[in-house]
Amino acid sequence: MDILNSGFLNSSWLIKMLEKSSVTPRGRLLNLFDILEDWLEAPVVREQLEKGLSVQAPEKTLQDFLTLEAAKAGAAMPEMLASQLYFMAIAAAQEKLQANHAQSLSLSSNFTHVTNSSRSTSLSHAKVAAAALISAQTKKEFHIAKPTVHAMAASFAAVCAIAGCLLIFNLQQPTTTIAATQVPTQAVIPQLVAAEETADPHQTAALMAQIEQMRHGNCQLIEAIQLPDSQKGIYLNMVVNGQVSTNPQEQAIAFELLRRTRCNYTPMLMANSTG
Amino acid sequence: MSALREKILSTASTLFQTQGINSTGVDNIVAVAGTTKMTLYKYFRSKEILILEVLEKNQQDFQTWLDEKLSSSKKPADKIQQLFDYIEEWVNSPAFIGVGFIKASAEFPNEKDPIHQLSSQQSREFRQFISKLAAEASIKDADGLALQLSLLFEGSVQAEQMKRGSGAVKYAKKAAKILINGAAKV
Repeated sequence: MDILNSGFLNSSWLIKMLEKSSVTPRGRLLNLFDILEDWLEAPVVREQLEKGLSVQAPEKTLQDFLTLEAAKAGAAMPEMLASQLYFMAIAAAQEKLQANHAQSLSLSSNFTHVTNSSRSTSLSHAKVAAAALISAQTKKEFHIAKPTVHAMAASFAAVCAIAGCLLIFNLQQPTTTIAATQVPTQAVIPQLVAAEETADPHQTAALMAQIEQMRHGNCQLIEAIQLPDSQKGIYLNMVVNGQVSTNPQEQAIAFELLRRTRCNYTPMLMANSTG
Repeated sequence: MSALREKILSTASTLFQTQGINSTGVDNIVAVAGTTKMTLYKYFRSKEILILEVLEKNQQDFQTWLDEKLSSSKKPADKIQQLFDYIEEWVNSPAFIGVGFIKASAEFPNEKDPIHQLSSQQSREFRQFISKLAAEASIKDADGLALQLSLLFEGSVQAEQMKRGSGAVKYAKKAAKILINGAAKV
Protein backbone atom coordinates (compact mmCIF):
# COMPACT_ATOMS: atom_id res chain seq x y z
CA MET A 1 0.00 0.00 0.00
CA ASP A 2 2.99 2.23 -0.11
CA ILE A 3 3.25 4.10 -3.36
CA LEU A 4 6.85 5.11 -2.68
CA ASN A 5 8.08 1.57 -2.32
CA SER A 6 5.86 0.10 -5.00
CA GLY A 7 8.40 0.76 -7.72
CA PHE A 8 5.70 2.28 -9.89
CA LEU A 9 7.04 5.81 -9.57
CA ASN A 10 10.39 4.75 -10.88
CA SER A 11 9.25 2.36 -13.55
CA SER A 12 10.38 2.88 -17.12
CA TRP A 13 6.73 2.39 -18.09
CA LEU A 14 5.66 5.56 -16.27
CA ILE A 15 8.44 7.59 -17.86
CA LYS A 16 7.57 6.28 -21.33
CA MET A 17 3.91 7.15 -20.77
CA LEU A 18 4.87 10.65 -19.68
CA GLU A 19 7.23 11.15 -22.60
CA LYS A 20 4.52 10.51 -25.15
CA SER A 21 1.70 12.15 -23.22
CA SER A 22 2.15 15.66 -24.55
CA VAL A 23 4.18 17.69 -26.99
CA THR A 24 4.96 20.40 -24.44
CA PRO A 25 7.22 20.00 -21.40
CA ARG A 26 4.59 21.64 -19.22
CA GLY A 27 2.04 19.11 -20.42
CA ARG A 28 4.41 16.22 -19.75
CA LEU A 29 5.00 17.48 -16.20
CA LEU A 30 1.30 17.89 -15.48
CA ASN A 31 0.32 14.54 -16.95
CA LEU A 32 2.10 12.83 -14.08
CA PHE A 33 -0.98 13.58 -12.01
CA ASP A 34 -3.41 12.21 -14.60
CA ILE A 35 -1.46 9.02 -15.16
CA LEU A 36 -1.19 8.43 -11.41
CA GLU A 37 -4.91 9.05 -11.07
CA ASP A 38 -5.77 6.56 -13.82
CA TRP A 39 -3.36 4.03 -12.49
CA LEU A 40 -4.77 4.22 -8.97
CA GLU A 41 -8.28 3.80 -10.35
CA ALA A 42 -7.32 0.57 -12.07
CA PRO A 43 -9.10 -2.43 -10.51
CA VAL A 44 -6.19 -4.59 -9.37
CA VAL A 45 -3.73 -1.91 -8.38
CA ARG A 46 -4.36 -2.17 -4.69
CA GLU A 47 -3.60 -5.89 -4.60
CA GLN A 48 -0.54 -5.32 -6.71
CA LEU A 49 0.67 -2.58 -4.42
CA GLU A 50 0.38 -4.90 -1.46
CA LYS A 51 2.30 -7.63 -3.21
CA GLY A 52 4.88 -5.26 -4.57
CA LEU A 53 5.44 -4.79 -8.26
CA SER A 54 8.22 -6.22 -10.27
CA VAL A 55 8.95 -3.38 -12.60
CA GLN A 56 11.70 -2.68 -15.00
CA ALA A 57 14.04 -0.12 -13.51
CA PRO A 58 14.44 2.85 -15.82
CA GLU A 59 17.67 4.32 -17.07
CA LYS A 60 16.72 7.60 -15.51
CA THR A 61 14.64 8.09 -12.38
CA LEU A 62 11.35 9.94 -12.33
CA GLN A 63 13.01 12.88 -10.57
CA ASP A 64 15.68 13.08 -13.30
CA PHE A 65 12.98 13.02 -15.93
CA LEU A 66 10.97 15.75 -14.18
CA THR A 67 14.11 17.86 -13.79
CA LEU A 68 14.82 17.65 -17.53
CA GLU A 69 11.26 18.56 -18.41
CA ALA A 70 11.22 21.41 -15.89
CA ALA A 71 14.36 22.80 -17.53
CA LYS A 72 12.75 22.51 -20.97
CA ALA A 73 9.69 24.32 -19.66
CA GLY A 74 11.99 27.17 -18.67
CA ALA A 75 11.84 26.75 -14.88
CA ALA A 76 14.03 29.08 -12.86
CA MET A 77 15.18 26.18 -10.67
CA PRO A 78 14.39 22.94 -12.51
CA GLU A 79 15.71 20.51 -9.93
CA MET A 80 13.76 22.14 -7.15
CA LEU A 81 10.56 22.34 -9.19
CA ALA A 82 10.94 18.66 -10.08
CA SER A 83 11.34 17.67 -6.47
CA GLN A 84 8.34 19.76 -5.39
CA LEU A 85 6.17 18.18 -8.08
CA TYR A 86 7.42 14.73 -7.16
CA PHE A 87 6.52 15.13 -3.50
CA MET A 88 3.18 16.68 -4.31
CA ALA A 89 2.35 13.73 -6.52
CA ILE A 90 3.30 11.28 -3.77
CA ALA A 91 1.30 13.15 -1.13
CA ALA A 92 -1.76 13.31 -3.39
CA ALA A 93 -1.45 9.65 -4.36
CA GLN A 94 -1.19 8.59 -0.73
CA GLU A 95 -4.24 10.66 0.05
CA LYS A 96 -6.16 8.98 -2.73
CA LEU A 97 -5.09 5.53 -1.61
CA GLN A 98 -6.32 6.27 1.87
CA ALA A 99 -9.63 7.52 0.54
CA ASN A 100 -9.97 4.41 -1.65
CA HIS A 101 -9.23 2.30 1.38
CA ALA A 102 -11.83 4.05 3.52
CA GLN A 103 -14.30 3.63 0.68
CA SER A 104 -13.67 -0.09 0.32
CA LEU A 105 -14.13 -0.50 4.07
CA SER A 106 -17.45 1.28 4.05
CA LEU A 107 -18.50 -0.74 1.01
CA SER A 108 -17.74 -4.04 2.62
CA SER A 109 -19.58 -3.16 5.79
CA ASN A 110 -22.51 -1.70 3.83
CA PHE A 111 -22.69 1.31 6.10
CA THR A 112 -22.94 4.02 3.54
CA HIS A 113 -23.83 4.56 -0.03
CA VAL A 114 -20.71 5.38 -1.91
CA THR A 115 -21.27 7.76 -4.73
CA ASN A 116 -18.93 9.04 -7.36
CA SER A 117 -18.68 12.33 -5.57
CA SER A 118 -16.93 10.69 -2.65
CA ARG A 119 -14.02 9.70 -4.87
CA SER A 120 -10.85 11.42 -3.87
CA THR A 121 -10.04 14.46 -5.95
CA SER A 122 -6.58 14.86 -4.47
CA LEU A 123 -4.73 14.22 -7.72
CA SER A 124 -6.76 16.66 -9.77
CA HIS A 125 -6.26 19.30 -7.09
CA ALA A 126 -2.58 18.46 -7.00
CA LYS A 127 -2.52 19.06 -10.75
CA VAL A 128 -4.06 22.50 -10.35
CA ALA A 129 -1.53 23.35 -7.65
CA ALA A 130 1.27 21.98 -9.85
CA ALA A 131 0.14 24.15 -12.76
CA ALA A 132 0.34 27.20 -10.50
CA LEU A 133 3.77 26.15 -9.28
CA ILE A 134 5.06 25.71 -12.83
CA SER A 135 3.65 29.12 -13.72
CA ALA A 136 5.36 30.65 -10.69
CA GLN A 137 8.70 29.30 -11.90
CA THR A 138 8.25 29.98 -15.60
CA LYS A 139 6.76 33.45 -15.65
CA LYS A 140 8.43 34.25 -18.94
CA GLU A 141 6.13 31.84 -20.75
CA PHE A 142 3.40 34.38 -20.28
CA HIS A 143 5.24 37.53 -21.20
CA ILE A 144 6.94 37.44 -24.52
CA ALA A 145 10.35 38.89 -23.88
CA LYS A 146 11.03 41.59 -26.42
CA PRO A 147 14.73 40.82 -27.11
CA THR A 148 14.01 37.20 -28.08
CA VAL A 149 11.22 38.29 -30.36
CA HIS A 150 13.59 40.53 -32.25
CA ALA A 151 16.29 37.92 -32.38
CA MET A 152 13.79 35.41 -33.65
CA ALA A 153 12.35 37.83 -36.15
CA ALA A 154 15.84 38.38 -37.49
CA SER A 155 16.51 34.68 -37.83
CA PHE A 156 13.07 34.27 -39.37
CA ALA A 157 13.97 36.78 -42.06
CA ALA A 158 17.17 34.89 -42.76
CA VAL A 159 15.37 31.57 -42.97
CA CYS A 160 12.82 33.14 -45.26
CA ALA A 161 15.44 34.37 -47.61
CA ILE A 162 16.87 30.89 -47.91
CA ALA A 163 13.73 28.82 -47.91
CA GLY A 164 11.72 31.13 -50.07
CA CYS A 165 9.34 31.78 -47.24
CA LEU A 166 7.87 28.33 -47.05
CA LEU A 167 7.19 27.81 -43.41
CA ILE A 168 6.94 24.16 -42.76
CA PHE A 169 5.95 23.42 -39.19
CA ASN A 170 7.27 19.90 -39.35
CA LEU A 171 10.76 21.32 -39.25
CA GLN A 172 10.06 22.65 -35.80
CA GLN A 173 8.10 19.77 -34.44
CA PRO A 174 8.19 16.28 -35.92
CA THR A 175 4.74 14.72 -35.88
CA THR A 176 5.76 11.19 -35.19
CA THR A 177 4.51 10.45 -31.69
CA ILE A 178 1.06 9.26 -30.81
CA ALA A 179 0.89 12.13 -28.41
CA ALA A 180 0.61 14.56 -31.25
CA THR A 181 -2.99 13.48 -31.69
CA GLN A 182 -3.86 14.64 -28.20
CA VAL A 183 -4.46 18.19 -27.22
CA PRO A 184 -1.92 19.05 -24.53
CA THR A 185 -3.33 18.93 -21.04
CA GLN A 186 -2.22 22.48 -20.66
CA ALA A 187 -5.23 23.38 -22.69
CA VAL A 188 -7.57 21.76 -20.22
CA ILE A 189 -6.26 23.45 -17.14
CA PRO A 190 -6.78 27.18 -17.13
CA GLN A 191 -3.40 28.77 -17.18
CA LEU A 192 -3.13 30.49 -13.88
CA VAL A 193 -1.51 33.84 -14.00
CA ALA A 194 -1.29 36.24 -11.14
CA ALA A 195 -1.75 39.86 -12.00
CA GLU A 196 -1.96 40.22 -15.77
CA GLU A 197 -5.12 40.20 -17.76
CA THR A 198 -5.65 36.68 -19.04
CA ALA A 199 -7.64 35.21 -21.85
CA ASP A 200 -10.56 32.88 -21.32
CA PRO A 201 -9.12 29.37 -20.77
CA HIS A 202 -11.48 27.98 -23.42
CA GLN A 203 -10.12 30.49 -25.86
CA THR A 204 -6.56 29.44 -25.01
CA ALA A 205 -7.52 25.80 -25.36
CA ALA A 206 -9.09 26.44 -28.76
CA LEU A 207 -6.00 28.26 -29.93
CA MET A 208 -3.71 25.49 -28.76
CA ALA A 209 -5.91 22.84 -30.34
CA GLN A 210 -5.83 24.69 -33.64
CA ILE A 211 -2.05 25.03 -33.57
CA GLU A 212 -1.77 21.40 -32.58
CA GLN A 213 -3.97 20.40 -35.50
CA MET A 214 -1.76 22.32 -37.91
CA ARG A 215 1.23 20.26 -36.87
CA HIS A 216 -0.30 17.40 -38.87
CA GLY A 217 -0.34 19.28 -42.08
CA ASN A 218 1.87 21.33 -44.27
CA CYS A 219 1.03 24.90 -43.40
CA GLN A 220 2.27 28.17 -44.73
CA LEU A 221 1.65 31.85 -44.35
CA ILE A 222 3.52 33.44 -47.17
CA GLU A 223 2.58 36.96 -46.05
CA ALA A 224 4.40 36.33 -42.76
CA ILE A 225 7.46 38.09 -44.11
CA GLN A 226 5.50 41.30 -44.60
CA LEU A 227 3.88 41.36 -41.19
CA PRO A 228 4.74 44.18 -38.81
CA ASP A 229 7.37 43.13 -36.25
CA SER A 230 4.90 42.89 -33.37
CA GLN A 231 2.71 40.44 -35.28
CA LYS A 232 5.69 38.54 -36.62
CA GLY A 233 6.84 37.96 -33.03
CA ILE A 234 3.44 36.60 -32.04
CA TYR A 235 3.33 34.40 -35.14
CA LEU A 236 6.75 32.94 -34.43
CA ASN A 237 6.21 32.43 -30.73
CA MET A 238 2.72 31.08 -30.73
CA VAL A 239 2.20 29.41 -34.09
CA VAL A 240 5.67 28.25 -35.00
CA ASN A 241 7.05 27.51 -31.56
CA GLY A 242 3.72 26.60 -29.95
CA GLN A 243 4.27 28.83 -26.91
CA VAL A 244 0.78 30.17 -26.49
CA SER A 245 0.55 33.37 -24.52
CA THR A 246 -2.48 34.02 -22.35
CA ASN A 247 -2.67 37.66 -23.27
CA PRO A 248 -6.08 38.20 -24.95
CA GLN A 249 -4.82 40.80 -27.45
CA GLU A 250 -1.97 38.57 -28.56
CA GLN A 251 -4.35 35.65 -28.86
CA ALA A 252 -6.69 37.69 -31.04
CA ILE A 253 -3.79 38.44 -33.40
CA ALA A 254 -2.79 34.78 -33.39
CA PHE A 255 -6.33 33.72 -34.32
CA GLU A 256 -6.38 36.19 -37.19
CA LEU A 257 -3.00 34.95 -38.44
CA LEU A 258 -4.16 31.34 -38.21
CA ARG A 259 -7.20 32.22 -40.25
CA ARG A 260 -4.91 33.45 -43.01
CA THR A 261 -2.58 30.46 -42.83
CA ARG A 262 -3.14 27.87 -45.53
CA CYS A 263 -2.78 24.23 -44.65
CA ASN A 264 -2.60 21.11 -46.73
CA TYR A 265 -3.53 17.97 -44.82
CA THR A 266 -3.24 15.57 -47.74
CA PRO A 267 -0.49 13.08 -47.00
CA MET A 268 2.57 13.92 -49.04
CA LEU A 269 2.65 10.67 -51.03
CA MET A 270 -1.00 10.82 -51.96
CA ALA A 271 -0.64 14.43 -53.05
CA ASN A 272 2.12 13.37 -55.38
CA SER A 273 0.22 10.50 -56.90
CA THR A 274 -2.88 12.55 -57.60
CA GLY A 275 -0.92 15.62 -58.44
CA MET B 1 6.01 19.23 33.30
CA SER B 2 9.47 18.25 34.43
CA ALA B 3 12.47 19.91 32.80
CA LEU B 4 14.05 16.57 32.09
CA ARG B 5 10.95 15.37 30.32
CA GLU B 6 11.02 18.51 28.18
CA LYS B 7 14.69 17.94 27.45
CA ILE B 8 14.04 14.38 26.27
CA LEU B 9 11.19 15.56 24.05
CA SER B 10 13.19 18.30 22.37
CA THR B 11 16.27 16.09 21.92
CA ALA B 12 14.17 13.33 20.39
CA SER B 13 12.44 15.83 18.12
CA THR B 14 15.75 17.13 16.75
CA LEU B 15 17.24 13.67 16.30
CA PHE B 16 14.10 12.32 14.59
CA GLN B 17 14.14 15.12 12.07
CA THR B 18 17.86 15.15 11.41
CA GLN B 19 18.67 11.47 11.28
CA GLY B 20 15.29 9.82 10.84
CA ILE B 21 12.77 8.43 13.31
CA ASN B 22 13.46 4.75 12.69
CA SER B 23 17.19 5.14 12.72
CA THR B 24 17.25 7.02 16.03
CA GLY B 25 17.58 4.59 18.92
CA VAL B 26 16.56 5.21 22.49
CA ASP B 27 20.24 4.85 23.48
CA ASN B 28 21.07 7.66 21.13
CA ILE B 29 18.40 9.94 22.62
CA VAL B 30 19.43 9.39 26.24
CA ALA B 31 23.10 9.90 25.38
CA VAL B 32 22.44 13.25 23.71
CA ALA B 33 19.93 14.38 26.34
CA GLY B 34 22.36 13.40 29.09
CA THR B 35 20.03 11.07 30.93
CA THR B 36 19.41 7.36 31.35
CA LYS B 37 17.12 4.86 29.68
CA MET B 38 15.36 4.31 32.99
CA THR B 39 14.46 7.99 33.21
CA LEU B 40 13.26 8.02 29.64
CA TYR B 41 11.02 5.03 30.23
CA LYS B 42 9.72 6.61 33.39
CA TYR B 43 8.27 9.46 31.32
CA PHE B 44 7.52 7.57 28.14
CA ARG B 45 6.50 3.94 28.35
CA SER B 46 7.84 3.08 24.92
CA LYS B 47 9.61 4.60 21.93
CA GLU B 48 6.28 4.65 20.14
CA ILE B 49 4.72 6.78 22.87
CA LEU B 50 7.71 9.10 22.74
CA ILE B 51 7.31 9.49 18.97
CA LEU B 52 3.59 10.22 19.36
CA GLU B 53 4.27 12.87 22.00
CA VAL B 54 6.99 14.47 19.89
CA LEU B 55 4.55 14.70 16.97
CA GLU B 56 1.84 16.23 19.17
CA LYS B 57 4.20 18.79 20.60
CA ASN B 58 5.74 19.80 17.27
CA GLN B 59 2.36 20.39 15.70
CA GLN B 60 1.05 22.27 18.74
CA ASP B 61 4.07 24.56 18.77
CA PHE B 62 3.74 25.31 15.08
CA GLN B 63 0.00 25.88 15.25
CA THR B 64 0.32 28.17 18.27
CA TRP B 65 3.02 30.20 16.54
CA LEU B 66 0.97 30.44 13.36
CA ASP B 67 -2.25 31.42 15.19
CA GLU B 68 -0.41 34.19 16.95
CA LYS B 69 1.07 35.52 13.72
CA LEU B 70 -2.26 35.39 11.92
CA SER B 71 -4.09 37.11 14.76
CA SER B 72 -2.25 40.32 13.87
CA SER B 73 -4.30 40.77 10.72
CA LYS B 74 -7.95 41.57 11.22
CA LYS B 75 -9.38 40.98 7.75
CA PRO B 76 -10.11 37.33 6.90
CA ALA B 77 -9.09 37.91 3.27
CA ASP B 78 -5.61 38.96 4.44
CA LYS B 79 -5.11 35.90 6.60
CA ILE B 80 -5.22 33.38 3.79
CA GLN B 81 -2.95 35.63 1.70
CA GLN B 82 -0.42 35.81 4.53
CA LEU B 83 -0.45 32.11 5.38
CA PHE B 84 2.47 31.29 3.09
CA ASP B 85 4.38 34.40 4.16
CA TYR B 86 4.41 32.99 7.67
CA ILE B 87 5.15 29.47 6.50
CA GLU B 88 8.15 30.88 4.64
CA GLU B 89 9.27 32.78 7.72
CA TRP B 90 8.99 29.64 9.79
CA VAL B 91 10.81 27.39 7.30
CA ASN B 92 13.63 29.89 6.90
CA SER B 93 14.11 30.37 10.64
CA PRO B 94 17.26 28.72 12.02
CA ALA B 95 15.16 26.70 14.45
CA PHE B 96 13.25 24.95 11.65
CA ILE B 97 14.08 21.29 11.44
CA GLY B 98 11.13 19.98 9.48
CA VAL B 99 7.49 19.09 9.77
CA GLY B 100 6.88 16.17 12.08
CA PHE B 101 3.81 14.72 10.44
CA ILE B 102 5.32 14.80 6.95
CA LYS B 103 8.40 12.95 8.12
CA ALA B 104 6.40 10.48 10.19
CA SER B 105 3.93 9.56 7.49
CA ALA B 106 6.82 8.87 5.11
CA GLU B 107 8.60 6.67 7.62
CA PHE B 108 5.49 4.86 8.84
CA PRO B 109 3.45 4.04 5.73
CA ASN B 110 1.36 1.31 7.36
CA GLU B 111 -2.15 2.64 7.94
CA LYS B 112 -2.68 0.52 11.02
CA ASP B 113 0.32 2.03 12.74
CA PRO B 114 -0.70 4.56 15.45
CA ILE B 115 2.15 6.83 14.33
CA HIS B 116 0.85 6.82 10.77
CA GLN B 117 -2.66 7.46 12.05
CA LEU B 118 -1.59 10.44 14.13
CA SER B 119 0.44 11.96 11.31
CA SER B 120 -2.39 11.67 8.80
CA GLN B 121 -4.77 13.11 11.38
CA GLN B 122 -2.44 16.10 11.83
CA SER B 123 -2.16 16.53 8.09
CA ARG B 124 -5.97 16.49 7.87
CA GLU B 125 -6.31 18.98 10.71
CA PHE B 126 -3.87 21.35 9.08
CA ARG B 127 -5.87 21.14 5.86
CA GLN B 128 -9.08 21.86 7.79
CA PHE B 129 -7.38 24.85 9.33
CA ILE B 130 -6.54 26.20 5.85
CA SER B 131 -10.05 25.41 4.70
CA LYS B 132 -11.44 27.48 7.57
CA LEU B 133 -9.22 30.42 6.60
CA ALA B 134 -10.39 30.06 2.99
CA ALA B 135 -14.06 29.90 3.99
CA GLU B 136 -13.66 33.01 6.16
CA ALA B 137 -12.15 34.75 3.15
CA SER B 138 -15.41 33.89 1.30
CA ILE B 139 -13.78 31.43 -1.07
CA LYS B 140 -16.37 29.23 -2.70
CA ASP B 141 -14.58 25.89 -2.85
CA ALA B 142 -12.71 26.30 0.42
CA ASP B 143 -11.95 22.58 0.76
CA GLY B 144 -10.57 22.38 -2.77
CA LEU B 145 -8.30 25.36 -2.28
CA ALA B 146 -7.18 24.00 1.09
CA LEU B 147 -6.23 20.72 -0.54
CA GLN B 148 -4.23 22.54 -3.21
CA LEU B 149 -2.45 24.75 -0.67
CA SER B 150 -1.66 21.90 1.70
CA LEU B 151 -0.16 19.87 -1.15
CA LEU B 152 1.96 22.88 -2.11
CA PHE B 153 3.00 23.15 1.52
CA GLU B 154 3.94 19.47 1.85
CA GLY B 155 5.76 19.40 -1.49
CA SER B 156 7.82 22.47 -0.74
CA VAL B 157 8.71 21.45 2.80
CA GLN B 158 9.94 18.09 1.53
CA ALA B 159 11.92 19.71 -1.27
CA GLU B 160 13.35 22.11 1.28
CA GLN B 161 14.35 19.24 3.56
CA MET B 162 16.22 17.58 0.70
CA LYS B 163 18.19 20.74 0.12
CA ARG B 164 18.18 23.43 2.79
CA GLY B 165 17.97 27.01 1.59
CA SER B 166 16.73 25.97 -1.84
CA GLY B 167 13.92 28.52 -1.71
CA ALA B 168 11.23 25.96 -2.50
CA VAL B 169 8.79 27.76 -0.22
CA LYS B 170 9.35 31.03 -2.07
CA TYR B 171 7.88 29.51 -5.24
CA ALA B 172 5.17 27.70 -3.30
CA LYS B 173 4.20 31.10 -1.93
CA LYS B 174 3.96 32.56 -5.45
CA ALA B 175 1.91 29.58 -6.59
CA ALA B 176 -0.35 29.96 -3.55
CA LYS B 177 -1.02 33.59 -4.49
CA ILE B 178 -1.95 32.51 -8.02
CA LEU B 179 -4.34 29.89 -6.63
CA ILE B 180 -5.91 32.19 -4.02
CA ASN B 181 -6.39 35.04 -6.47
CA GLY B 182 -7.84 32.66 -9.03
CA ALA B 183 -10.28 31.02 -6.61
CA ALA B 184 -13.92 31.96 -7.08
CA LYS B 185 -15.63 33.89 -4.30
CA VAL B 186 -18.98 33.11 -2.78
